[in-house]
Amino acid sequence: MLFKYRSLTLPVLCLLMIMNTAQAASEKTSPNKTPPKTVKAVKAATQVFFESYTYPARIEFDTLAQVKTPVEGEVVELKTFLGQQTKRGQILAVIKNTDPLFQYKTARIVAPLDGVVTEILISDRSEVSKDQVIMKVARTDAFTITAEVPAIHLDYFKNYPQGALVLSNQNAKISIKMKGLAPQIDPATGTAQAKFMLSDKAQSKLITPGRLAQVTFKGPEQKGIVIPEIALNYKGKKTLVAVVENKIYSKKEITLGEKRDGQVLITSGLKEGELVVERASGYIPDGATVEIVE
Amino acid sequence: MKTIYQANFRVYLCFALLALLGIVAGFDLPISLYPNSTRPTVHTGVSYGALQAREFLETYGMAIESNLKALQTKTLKVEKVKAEYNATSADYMVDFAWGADPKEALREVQAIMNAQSSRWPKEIRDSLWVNFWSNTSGFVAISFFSSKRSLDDLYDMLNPEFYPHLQAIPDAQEAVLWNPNYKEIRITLNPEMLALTGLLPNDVEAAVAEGLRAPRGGNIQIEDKGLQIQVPRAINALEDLKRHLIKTPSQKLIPLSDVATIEQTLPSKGEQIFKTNGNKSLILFASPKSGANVKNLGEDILEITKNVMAHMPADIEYRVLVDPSEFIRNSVSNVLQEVFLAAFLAVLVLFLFVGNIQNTITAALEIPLSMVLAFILMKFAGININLISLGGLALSAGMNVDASIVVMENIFAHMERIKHRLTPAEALHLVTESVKEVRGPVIGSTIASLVVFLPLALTKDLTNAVLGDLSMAVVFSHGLSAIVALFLVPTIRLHLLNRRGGLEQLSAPPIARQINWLENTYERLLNLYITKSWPMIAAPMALTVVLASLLYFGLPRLEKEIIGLPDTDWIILGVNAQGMNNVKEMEGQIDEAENELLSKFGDKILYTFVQIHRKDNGNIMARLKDKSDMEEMWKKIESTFTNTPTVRFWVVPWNPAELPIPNPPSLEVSIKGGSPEDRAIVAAEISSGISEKDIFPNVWKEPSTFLPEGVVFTPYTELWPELQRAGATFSTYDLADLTRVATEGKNIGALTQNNQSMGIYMQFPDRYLKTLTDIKALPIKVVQKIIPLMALGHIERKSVAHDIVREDGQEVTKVFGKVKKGTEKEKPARLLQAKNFVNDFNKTFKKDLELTTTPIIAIENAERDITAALQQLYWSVGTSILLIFFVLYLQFGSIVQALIILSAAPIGLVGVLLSLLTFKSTISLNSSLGVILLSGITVANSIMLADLTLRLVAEGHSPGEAALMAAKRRLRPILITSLTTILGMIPVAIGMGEGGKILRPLGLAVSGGLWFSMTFTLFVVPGLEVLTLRRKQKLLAKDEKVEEETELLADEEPAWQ
Repeated sequence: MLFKYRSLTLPVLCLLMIMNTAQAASEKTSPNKTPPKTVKAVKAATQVFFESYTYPARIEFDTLAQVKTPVEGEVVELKTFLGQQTKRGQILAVIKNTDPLFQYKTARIVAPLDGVVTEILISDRSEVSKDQVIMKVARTDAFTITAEVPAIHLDYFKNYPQGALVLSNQNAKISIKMKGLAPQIDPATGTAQAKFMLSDKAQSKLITPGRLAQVTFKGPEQKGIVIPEIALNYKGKKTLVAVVENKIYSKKEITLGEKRDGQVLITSGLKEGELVVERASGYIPDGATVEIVE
Repeated sequence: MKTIYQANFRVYLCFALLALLGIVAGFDLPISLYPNSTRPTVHTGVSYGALQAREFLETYGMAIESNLKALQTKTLKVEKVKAEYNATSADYMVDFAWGADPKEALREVQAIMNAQSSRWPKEIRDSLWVNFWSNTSGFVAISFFSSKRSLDDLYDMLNPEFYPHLQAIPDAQEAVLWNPNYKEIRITLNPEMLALTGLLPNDVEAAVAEGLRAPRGGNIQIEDKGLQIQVPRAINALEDLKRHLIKTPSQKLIPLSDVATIEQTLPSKGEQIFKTNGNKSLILFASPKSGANVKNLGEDILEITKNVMAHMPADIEYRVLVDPSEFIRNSVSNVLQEVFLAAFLAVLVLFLFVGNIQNTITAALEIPLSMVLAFILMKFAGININLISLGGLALSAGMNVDASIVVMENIFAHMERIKHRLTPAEALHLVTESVKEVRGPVIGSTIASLVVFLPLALTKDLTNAVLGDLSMAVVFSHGLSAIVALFLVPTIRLHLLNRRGGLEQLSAPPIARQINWLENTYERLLNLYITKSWPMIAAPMALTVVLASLLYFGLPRLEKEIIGLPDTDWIILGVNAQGMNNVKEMEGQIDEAENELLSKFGDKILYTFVQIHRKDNGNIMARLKDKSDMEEMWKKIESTFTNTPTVRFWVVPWNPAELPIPNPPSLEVSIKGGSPEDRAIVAAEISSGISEKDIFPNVWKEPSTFLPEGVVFTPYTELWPELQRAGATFSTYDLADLTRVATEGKNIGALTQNNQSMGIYMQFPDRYLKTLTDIKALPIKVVQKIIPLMALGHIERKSVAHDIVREDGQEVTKVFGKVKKGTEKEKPARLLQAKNFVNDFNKTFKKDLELTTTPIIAIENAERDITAALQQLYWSVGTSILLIFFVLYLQFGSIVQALIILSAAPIGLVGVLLSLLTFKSTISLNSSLGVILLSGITVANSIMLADLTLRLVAEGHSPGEAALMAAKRRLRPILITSLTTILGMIPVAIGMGEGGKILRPLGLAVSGGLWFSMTFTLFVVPGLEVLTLRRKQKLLAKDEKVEEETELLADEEPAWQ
């Protein structure tokens, strides 16, 4: 009897299998019910957007006087040292005239201005000729900042913008103003020399002449909608951003202006106040419902 | 024969010696996780230095690729060359064919790259590397730490001890004690001073390079002695470097320390970072050569560590972080346990059926004996002890007693007829006669079950790598078992017979009553089955229908895989991130992931080990406290770390597998032709489409970057003549070098001091350049003026060339998709969805995306390796069955008989499919092998039945009678042989422990299939036999009638003659 039972089982088994497969197939077609995805959104807002122009700049003494000997002779006494603060008229050196014609008279070399001795080119007992530069004295309260401005920025500098000086070892910004701009461009470097001075002379003590620094200027301003760069999406060669309106996610095409420091200027396609998706918890299709999170 | 059986002592001695040899061979066999077969992949790469990707590709890359692809020697063949050109470097992956010797492969690739490198600029040449690094290769990691000493002190103490030993490890590709505090000399240029003096990084580099050179000043002959004139190196120490003089453009000589700070310090931009639970520790890191024995490597390193640490102060501690040898030992001992359990179960079945301990031992002796003897052959064939070959031994344990049982059964059957105490001559006659009777079937069925493995020996590649050892192990031990059965077993029986005379009463088996009942029931049922013809026709037909429907509906529902992987307690969370500038930044990304991992799953994780290999690629290895959590953790981690457009996570359990078992994605879309930009656009569109539609949760692209942006510096060429006239000496290259040093820094040489070489790294101060504006304002001295870099050229941020991936010389962009762990069942449906999506996309994309070129999109078969391997196996299954058929045809001389006997094989297939479906197992190389193995065993059963039936019919019994008699006599041996095999495989089918999973599908296929086929073969084969024999007899009877009539006619010949 058993074999009869057995030959019955087989078709039944078969049927079970087929039903199983069918059931599995129907499970697959049923839609996935997953909780809505979350997005982090920012409000599109109009902002001022500008580039900053930065150039290396040299700090130089504004007034650097060369001290010359009026006579030919021998240095009898050097009365100063490098870096000495001087007053106008202070004796810096004594030179004995070696020409018998002048009866070996001594001549006093005096400081031409209030300042500091920046260079000494003679020593005791050294011989000097007439009109030889023997020292340099500079004023310490006025500096010139010289930068080379590339030709492409020249037009902008004709308006004499305000800028700032940044020293490489300091974070402080010292405000500067334009003093002058060379009318011609150096063909070798493609730059024109621009000179700046400190807006506040009291800040002179912060800087050391001869050093290299940076000057920065706010470039031309642009006004427009600015959003974080990570919010951008691409489709083919188009640029899109995702926006959320009434919890519905959709993408719209925009045109890009300049990108700067992780921000990007939108020139068209986005209105002020729209909610732009910055980050999403996954890939979201157009028309999906999403939650906005902080 | 007779002389052999009589000389029992010599036979015992002979087998004892062989067994001893086998044991020695067994201990001598190397132990590894997987078979020796390898498919080496050699990785090689260079950094372009000053070149850009496209430029490098066109000048040097194509030549490299074609030379690598053309590499072919007698034993080596390159199958695929994949090249990736990203912004700064090129990586080449050279895949060799199966069986290639890894050492030779490495050597050949090295030779090619060295030959190629002669054409390259020095900087690129210096960056060349060739190795075997891969994601899955096993490695050993041990950390050393001390609460009292600094890492440098620790390193100075340990490294001299370790170094010579580590160098001597034969299996290591790399074995180093790695000091995370490793120092380099860093030259941090002062940008202000550079600009003021007019120096460029290039000038500094040249000056340092000169100082590191020791020029030779010729030879002089003084008093018959040749003496060399030497100028020593100027820079021998850090202080020398500081004092080294550099000539400025204004011809002043200034010391290097005037324009740079020079210090010996930790590398700022390390290439690789290792961390262990945040512990500051030295790490001993060793990776194996491809194809090397990872277990030996691990054991060697542990031993060295133990020896060294034995004489170290007590405050220095160590901790083994990753030790594959432990893992391998566990896995292998696990399978060994299975072998023993299988043997034990087989012996238990024997005892239940035979009853007599002495007889049980006689038959059971065969299990260890044939296994031990197999070791000798394995030694000769160069097969390791590994999970696969041990699996083969476990499988054959149950099968191996079969031959002995058949031989013993027949001897007992003859002994039942003994009426008086036998003389030695009579006893000898009895034994030889009974052996002679079964010699044919024993040899036949052994050959039948061995011949099925023959096609396997001819398979190639992956199939052979995975199954070669297994089939060899089965062939060796099972083949030897027949020899033992035909020689040793009769000898022992004769020995016993001579001593006892054969009149002793055999004790009844413990389940004698049940066996009798089974025999009677079977006889009754079979009688019912064969009295009428319709059941005999209906049953095979019903089985055919079941088989067909199982093949059609059941087979596609089974998951496909190459081979099960052993359990492990390590899980890897890999992170691929875009937009990372250096390893440091990647470390931040990895730290973030590690924190999340530890905060969510910390209670399940023992410790973590982080490796950061490249700036865009790193992984966190987490060791679980309990490996049974693996499945759950895998799913949970995968759902915690979801991919974003810039960061991709991948989760995979890790085990130190030496075998490159493919782990293919579910979907592979290739995009060829068209411009790289258009390909990238298409790839991005496809991948976001697939992600948005939720077709695959894990989607990634290759190359992964999209819309790569760069800072492009285009020099104003019109300035250049004037610049030269004004006295500027730099070139565009110098400017690019300047920005390179200013941004990423540069290796400019090495200083050897006290036999230790330290790299010299030149860079600008950290974070000196933060924005595009900073680069534009980079100061450069031109004669007396200091101008910004932007005065010399246009600098803007814009999109740049894409990364390039080339496969066998063709540029290709790919999109991959993969299902999550635990949802593999959805794969076919999702794949179909993806295919539909891609097909729809293919129709419209050119217009939608406004592309200028037309890339060609194709869906590749992502699982081609698995499909190819299984296809090969299907062919060998077919060939095996054909071979069995021929063997049967030769033995029985009749096609019909051969087909009847063979009918057991498809019945077995039904059983296999049913049990795989029931236990949710997989279609793998192993389960297909199970089908092959099973066909051999079931056919052996059906031979025993058919052979006896035919003999009985020849002796004059009617077909029905003969079938019943044969069935009754053969039931017991069939039950014993089948049950020993089924029970022997149960431990394998359950799949305990680390190594157990590998063979589980095989165990399931064989034990499930055999159970089913044994039950049905017992009815179907005699039924078919009866049907054909009756038909034959009818035909014969008809023929006789016809003949008689002709004779009659002949008698009535006209009488005119």
